[in-house]
Amino acid sequence: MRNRDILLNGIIKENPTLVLVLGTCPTLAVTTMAVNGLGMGVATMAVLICSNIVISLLKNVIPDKVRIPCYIVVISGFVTIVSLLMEALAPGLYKSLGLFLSLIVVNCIILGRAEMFAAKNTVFHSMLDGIGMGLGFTLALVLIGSIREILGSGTWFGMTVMPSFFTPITIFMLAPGGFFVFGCMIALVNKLRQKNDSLVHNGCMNCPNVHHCHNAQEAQEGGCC
Amino acid sequence: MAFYLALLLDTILVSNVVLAQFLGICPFLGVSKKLDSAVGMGLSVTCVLVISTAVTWLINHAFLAPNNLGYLQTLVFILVIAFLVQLLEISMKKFIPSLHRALGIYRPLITTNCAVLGVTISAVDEGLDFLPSLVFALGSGLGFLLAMVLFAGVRGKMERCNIPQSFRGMPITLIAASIVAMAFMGFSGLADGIFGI
Amino acid sequence: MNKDMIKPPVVLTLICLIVTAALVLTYQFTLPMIEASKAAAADASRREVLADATEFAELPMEEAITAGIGQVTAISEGKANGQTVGWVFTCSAKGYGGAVVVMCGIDTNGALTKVKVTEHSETPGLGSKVADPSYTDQFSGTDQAGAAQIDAISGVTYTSTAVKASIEAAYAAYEEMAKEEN
Repeated sequence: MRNRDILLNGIIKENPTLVLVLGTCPTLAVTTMAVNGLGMGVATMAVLICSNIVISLLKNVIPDKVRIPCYIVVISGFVTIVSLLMEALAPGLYKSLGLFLSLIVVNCIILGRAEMFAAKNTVFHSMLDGIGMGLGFTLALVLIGSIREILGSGTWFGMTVMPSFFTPITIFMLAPGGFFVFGCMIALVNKLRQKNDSLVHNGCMNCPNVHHCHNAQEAQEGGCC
Repeated sequence: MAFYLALLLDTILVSNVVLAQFLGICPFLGVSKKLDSAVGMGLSVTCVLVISTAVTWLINHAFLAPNNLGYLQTLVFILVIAFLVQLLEISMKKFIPSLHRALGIYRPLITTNCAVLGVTISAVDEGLDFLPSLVFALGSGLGFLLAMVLFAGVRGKMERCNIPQSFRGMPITLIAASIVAMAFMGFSGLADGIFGI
Repeated sequence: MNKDMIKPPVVLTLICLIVTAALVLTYQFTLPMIEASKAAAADASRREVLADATEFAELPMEEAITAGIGQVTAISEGKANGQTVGWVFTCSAKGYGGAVVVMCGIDTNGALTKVKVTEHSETPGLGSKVADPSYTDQFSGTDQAGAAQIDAISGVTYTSTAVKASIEAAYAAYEEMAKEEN
């Protein structure tokens, strides 16, 4: 595989959020504002790059039987480091991401890439994959966050962008708005993919649990993790 | 007593784990296609939630908090959950094989279910005592079960609808979830209103 | 066979130890920064509610002072040129979606200098309105009786009550302090 393909794969073709529909919890929970989406995306990307590198380095050391626990330990180590650094350097963002910063540990994008990519590829390629997937996740989160923030409170990254006669549609900041915007985004992506005739349904195939999951065979649209 | 009932009602309906707090969305969307698998998943999660909250609460208060090791919380909790899920699997296989056959298929999905880690961390972060923590975990689990069962019904209806091509599958499921979440918003303030706390 | 039994737990334990060591190092490194930024944030909001004071000293409290549904969790004394100019009360009360944390500044005459909602998880667009300066600024310059008469935001009665209960609690703590001094 060429380096550029690995990098672009995560951003467009296999965008973890909009195409593979992985890591749905943080996608819905923190995207009430664009800046939170950006913070979450960058934090996840940092963890993803680091864990991909380390797991790829250790792929010959870790025995197959305990590989999932080993991956989880490595990932949660990086998650804690990132959240400590964020608490020190960006306390405001740390506070608004709250619980979901710790929950990066169980974000299936990270465990999924460790299992699917880092455990089989070279260190450099794993790093590129981490960057690509991380950027794809960040882009999707910022996009959803922007839509929800603009419609829900009339601002974008905290700046007022809507004209004064616009009454903010508060529901977009609440739980139902999150589900709605995310659903519409995926529908849009589906529409675009139909045009380009490159419809690949591989949601569940990227799940770390695909080998144990009875659901994978029947769930064509993917989405469990 | 009123406090526990209010807490239970609050966690099941008002701050429902899935529909208000966005925890455990993946299994909510993935396993809610059929009613029986929704019930199985919901019950397994409830069970694991209560047990792991009890264990992590004790570990936190006996070991992490006194030694000022709060920052190891995430690492310790996820290991405990992974270990407990494994242990539960083994003991269920040995003692209640019929239940194991029914629920066993959901095991790999539970360790990485963010509802479990999320609720155990919340119980500690909110400074709940031991018994309230257990009620909180039980309510969260039952809330998850309720959301799964209700949503399995909604999806059953959707199967027979003619949905535009690009909305088929995940998009329409998310939009249905949005409407169910909107319905649950009607419960806000309910527990306080009934019990006057 | 034997090697297969030993290697997995050993590797897992080693990884756990290395990760824990890395975490301890990071924690030691970030701890001073975290504490500094927390102190700076607390100082900034205390300065905002009690603008006359230049330095703050936290007063020791044995237990939270409660009044109705509100409670005071921390008090600091604000001084300028060595003279006490007022106190900042960190109060909280249960709102619609959890605790609403309010900081109240009260000067030596018993008048509110400023009220600020520092933390809340109320419904965005509804309950969250109580954090807007357009609501909280009404309290500036009023006293206990005056603050009680300020209208709740329409549709946001519950959260407005939480803010007022916090102010009540601040005054309860203020009076307790005054009693002790005499």
